Order: sequence, then structure tokens, then C-alpha cells
Amino acid sequence: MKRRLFISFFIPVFLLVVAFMGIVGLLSFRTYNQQLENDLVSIVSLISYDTQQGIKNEDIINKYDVIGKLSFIDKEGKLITSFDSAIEDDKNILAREEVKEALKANIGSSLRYEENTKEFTFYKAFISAGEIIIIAIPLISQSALIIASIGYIFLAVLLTIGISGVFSYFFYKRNIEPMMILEKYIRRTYKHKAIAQVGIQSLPIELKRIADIFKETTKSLQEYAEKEEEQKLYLYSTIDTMVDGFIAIDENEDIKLINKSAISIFALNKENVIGSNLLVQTQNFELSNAVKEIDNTVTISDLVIDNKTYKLTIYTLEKNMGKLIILYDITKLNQLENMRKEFVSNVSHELKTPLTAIIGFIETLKDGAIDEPDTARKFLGIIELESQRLEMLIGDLLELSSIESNKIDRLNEDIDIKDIAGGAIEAFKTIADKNNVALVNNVTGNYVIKGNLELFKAMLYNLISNGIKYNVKDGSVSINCKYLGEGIVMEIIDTGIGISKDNLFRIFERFYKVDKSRSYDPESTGLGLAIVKHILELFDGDISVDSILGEGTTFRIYLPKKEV
Amino acid sequence: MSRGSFDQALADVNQDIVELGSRTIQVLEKTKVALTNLDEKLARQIYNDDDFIDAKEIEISEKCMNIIIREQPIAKDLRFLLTALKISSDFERICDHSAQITKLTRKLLKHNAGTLPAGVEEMFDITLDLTRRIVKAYATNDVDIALGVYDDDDRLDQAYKTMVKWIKSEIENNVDQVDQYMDYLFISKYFERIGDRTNSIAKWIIYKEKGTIRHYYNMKNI
Repeated sequence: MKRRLFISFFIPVFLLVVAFMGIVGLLSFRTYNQQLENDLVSIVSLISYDTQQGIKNEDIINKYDVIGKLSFIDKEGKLITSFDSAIEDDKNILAREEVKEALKANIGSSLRYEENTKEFTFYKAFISAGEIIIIAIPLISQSALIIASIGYIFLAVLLTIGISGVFSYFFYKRNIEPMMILEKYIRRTYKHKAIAQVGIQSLPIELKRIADIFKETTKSLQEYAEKEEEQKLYLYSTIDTMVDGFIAIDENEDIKLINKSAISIFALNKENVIGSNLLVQTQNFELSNAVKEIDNTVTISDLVIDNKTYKLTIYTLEKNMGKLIILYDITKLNQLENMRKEFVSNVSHELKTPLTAIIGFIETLKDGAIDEPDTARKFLGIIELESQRLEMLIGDLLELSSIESNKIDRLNEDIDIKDIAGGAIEAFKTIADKNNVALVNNVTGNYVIKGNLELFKAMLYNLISNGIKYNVKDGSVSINCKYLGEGIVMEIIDTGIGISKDNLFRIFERFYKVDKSRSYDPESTGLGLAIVKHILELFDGDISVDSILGEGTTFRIYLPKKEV
Repeated sequence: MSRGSFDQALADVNQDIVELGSRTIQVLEKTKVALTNLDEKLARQIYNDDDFIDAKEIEISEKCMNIIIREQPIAKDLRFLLTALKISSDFERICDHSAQITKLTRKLLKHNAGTLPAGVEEMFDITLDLTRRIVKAYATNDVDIALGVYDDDDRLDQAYKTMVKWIKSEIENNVDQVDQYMDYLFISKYFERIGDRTNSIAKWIIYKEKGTIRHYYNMKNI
């Protein structure tokens, strides 16, 4: 680039200098000829004067020997006197150009290369006193001319090259180099996406102005790009943090944007999702069909993917830009809704069963059974039992609801687990003996926690009562307690009938009963374990259960030992 | 047809196959609902919808043949088209088996069958899982998933054998419910066949990606 620019400038300058020198040379040569001509005219008149004065031809020749060689010829072309060997040898003097001219117009001249003398010679011929006089002035011999010229030509060439070179160099320095610097500056800035550290202070003012404009433009573009990038990042991270699945597709149903949730919902490979077809990626015909079918409005439907239910919402973007798909996980909501429905139907059922019995027996009594004292007593006994059951049920429901709504005070009582376990075993002694179940208290250390004493008791009694109720003959219920990390772990272990795996995770639901055939058990409301679980939530505790069918069940309670 | 539109035509066929596959999954899912709930209306609807699947398969075949005749593709493109022909017919067969299951669902209703035996449900779950995975393998060109499906077909075969034994003993004990158990036997057989189809698809996916058709015993050595 640099060389090309230098050469392309050097050559024209070189040619220009050559042309200039040529013209100067030519002009000086012409001036010299003119001068010579003029000089010769005056010489011719001097010689004419001398001949008319009658001076001898030899003397005249000697007098003007410095200027040139003179020859005297008569009008017939016969040589009179001559010192010029060229003319002496010439057989036909009258045929010479200058002589022909002189015969015609009294004076003639000619410049030519003389073969005899091997010289460029200027001839002048004129007629004076009836004789033709020829002056021959040798300009320079050919070889001398060439030798003399070579030096000059060489000098001229050197001079030309030197002048052109120097001129070109200065031109380059002044005009091309700053442009190269500017180019380097722009190129580097573009390449590194940052203002280049190229010194532009030395640039001429016009180029510096261009560089400054470029710098400002680059800076503002950079700022703009940064802002755009920030906006993009903000948008992406917003979409990515969304819990709902989010997919944006174009009019060909190719994915344009997708967030992490959507990727995990469809278990996609993050690498090649963007730009790929929605159906090809998700292999979900229902989704792709729903997307295809809607045109401008929002569509909402349920979509089941991997046992999870999603609310599918599709929006059509303006200007035919594609569609937005949003998947909102409603699995838990559906579960809760189902639980609520089940609870309502359970409560109604549980309340209705004793009431039906009560109403039935009252009607029978009214129809006459009241008159039979034994029957009446028996019926009244049943009515009393059922009413007690109703009371118990409502009591449990109220307790559950008060725990749930956090309307519990006295949360800072000291609870001595050893004491309470002992008391509980004392309280259940009668009923345990009746069922032939042994109660074992293994709590020996001092375990004290803070909380509501009554609730703690209710929880423990519920678990022990279950242990006795679902036990076998000659079985046992034992209570253990130990420290674990920051808290206390209590175990209530029974050797009872056990709970099957299918039922294990549902036993803490309200009204859930493992043994459906025992669902009408006057002593069970189906709320016990639900109450236990809610009480433990109040204590910031946790409960887990292990059970082997036919061998027994272990309830493990974890209680944090912190100040409540 | 320029190179661009040729590629577009191949992409179209690919998308059609994925659509057929995902439709097959949907049909199986619906069939499961119909079978577990003994829903006659749904069963009839699935049976009738099978025509759409057949039409789709024919459409894919025509597209493939058109491209083969006009473009005379070679190498990977040709393999892709041959695979498309094979796989689309496999999916169509799976849907046919599904339709047969819905027919048996209606029969079960007539025979006053109770809740679905756990064995049948288990087979259905395996079948659905295999189908879902094979569609994913096709859509994502994932040879590993295809190989996994190939292996897991054994699970289905095993389940089928257990099922046959169970049905045999049940028939011996409840002679009056022979019809019902025969239905279960056929249903299980269809699952087993669907499993074979997924196996075949797995084989073709591997052919498409690797260019070799291998027998079962050296499937692992590709």
C-alpha cells in the first residue's frame, strides 16, 4: 500500500521533471542557433568589407581562423583559396545547399553532419566581390558530443530521480502518511471494538477533525450497543427467573426465546433449542395443535406433561411476529382443590352418619319403642354414643381450625418430655390393659422444650392412642427420646398391624383412614394425625413414619430445641 | 427444485414424522384414559380418529417418493427418506394397535370388567414410556436414547410373560370370567407388539444416523 502509493506518485513527478528538462534543453539549443546566426551575419559583413578593401584571401582566412574555416570559390564552382579540407575534396561545390541558396539570394546557410570531418558543421555562404565565400563553423565532433552528453544525461537523470524522489517523499510525508495513520486508527478501533491507542495528535487539522468525528461516533455507538446489551440481558434474566414456562415462537413455529423453566418442563437440550421447530423439540402434539389453531385471541387449556398439569396460555403477537406460550404449573393447585373437595365431602359424611343414626333411633322411639323400657334404654345409649362422637368430631375440627389459624397462645411453657410421657402412659394404662398391649417408657434423661403444653400433650396422646388402637394382642407401644443435633427426636414405636406403602404418604390427610372397613369407628374421627401434623408445624418440628405391614409402625418426631 | 427448497422439503418430512410420532403418543395417552376408566365414548372417538393417522402416513409416503423421484437424493438424504418411509409406517401400526385396544375396551365393558389389573397398567406405562422416548430419540437424532429403547423392550417382553402366566392362573380360578381375561390377554399382546414397533423405529433411527443396519446381537457395536 505504502509502496504503491509512493511509486504512483513518484512516476508522474519523474516524468514531469524529465519533460521540463527536455523543454529547457531544446529551448537553449534553439537560442544558441539563433545567436550563432546573428553573429555570422555580422561576420559576413566584416568579411565582405575586407574583400572589397582588396585584402588578400590568405590574410582574410588567417584573420577569421578563430571563428571558422573560410573558402573562396568563383561562380563556376572552382576553388580559389581554401583551408577547409572538406571543401577541397568536394568535386561539386555548387551542389552544396548553402551555395545554392547564396547563388539565388546572395546569402545561404546550412547545418549538417559532415562525413569527411565527422563533425556537425554550420555553413554560411555569401557572394562578395564576385566570389562565393563559405564559412564552415564546426559545432562539435560526434564522439565528443556523446562523451560530453553522457555526463550531462547521467547528471540529468540523477538530478531528475533525486528531485522526484525528494519531492515525492515530502509529498508522502505530508499527505499520505497522515491518511495511513488515520486508516490504522479506524481499522484498529473497529477490530478491537475500543478506541485505538494510535497517536493522532500529529495529524493535520482536517484529518484530525475526521478522526475526532469518528471517535465520537464510535463512542456513541458503543454506548448504544452497551445499553442494548443491558436491555437484552435484563429481558433474558427476567424471563429466565419466571417460574412459569415461557416460549416465544415465530410465524413458522420456530422457537425464538425460551426460559429455563420451559426447558426443564420439556426436558430439552439447551444448546440447540433456539431456531428449532416447536413440535420437533417438544414432541407434544397437543401443544403444537393448540398453537396452530388459535389466530388472534388468548387460548387457555390444560396440558399434562410428565404427570404434571399446566395451564396453557397462548398469546398472538402483533404484526404477525409469532406467538407467546406460557405454561403455569397448576398441579399443586389441582391437588389442593381435590383435597378441599374431599374434605368437604368427608366432613359432611362424618357429620351425617351419627346424625342419621340419632334421627333413626329417635323416630323408632317415637313410633312406640319408648314404651319398651329395655329397648328404649338401649336406643338412648346408642343416641348418647353417637352424640358424643359428634361432639368429639366437632371438637377435633375446632381444634384443627384453631391450630391452623394460629390462634394459639401460651407458646412459652416449659415442656418436660419425661414427665408428660410418664403421665400419658399412666392415662392410657386402663385401655392398654384392656387391649393386652404393654406400654414402655424409655425416656430417662431430662428433655425440656418450650411450647404450648396442652397441644404437646394432645399430640402425644393421639400417637399413643393410635399405637394402642392399631396394635395386636400382646403387642407393645414404646416411647424413646434422644438428642439429635440442635433438637430432640422422639419415637413412638408400636408392634401393631403396620401401614402399607400406598397408604403411608396419605395418613396425615384429614379423614384419611387406612382400613376402609373400619371407617365407621365411633372412637376414630380420622383427624388425629392431621392434628398431630399441624401441632408439629406450630412447634417448627417435623414428623416421619416408617412402617412394615404386619410388624409395626414407628412415628419419629423431630423437635427443635429453640426458644419459641 | 433448488437446493434450498430441497432442504425445506426434507425438513417438512422430518416435521411430519415428529407430528405423527407426537400424535401417536397422544393416541396412546387417550387410549390409556379410555381403558382405565372404561370410557366407551372416548374409545369410540379414538377408534374413529385412526383414519387421520392413516392419511398422515400416506401423505408422508407420497412426499418421500416425490422427493426420491424428482431429486434422486444420495447418501444421508436418501437414508433419511428411506427411514421416514419405514418409521411413518411403524407409527401408523402403533396407532392401529391402539385402535384395536380401544375396540377391546368396549368389549371389556360388555363383559362387565372391573378395575384394570395392575399388570396391564404396568405394561401400558412401559409402552407409553418407550413410545415417548423413541419419538424424542427421533426428534433429537439421539442414538443413545434409541439404544436405550432397544434395551428396555426386554422389560415389556418380561411383563408380557408374567401377564400371560397371571391370566392363565386367573382363568383357571374364575372360569366364568374367561371372556374378560381373554380381552386382557389380547391387550397385553398388543402392548408387546407396540414394543416391537418402537424397537424397529430405534433400529431405523440408528440406520439414519450411522448408516448401518445391525442385528440385535451386535447393536452395541456401532
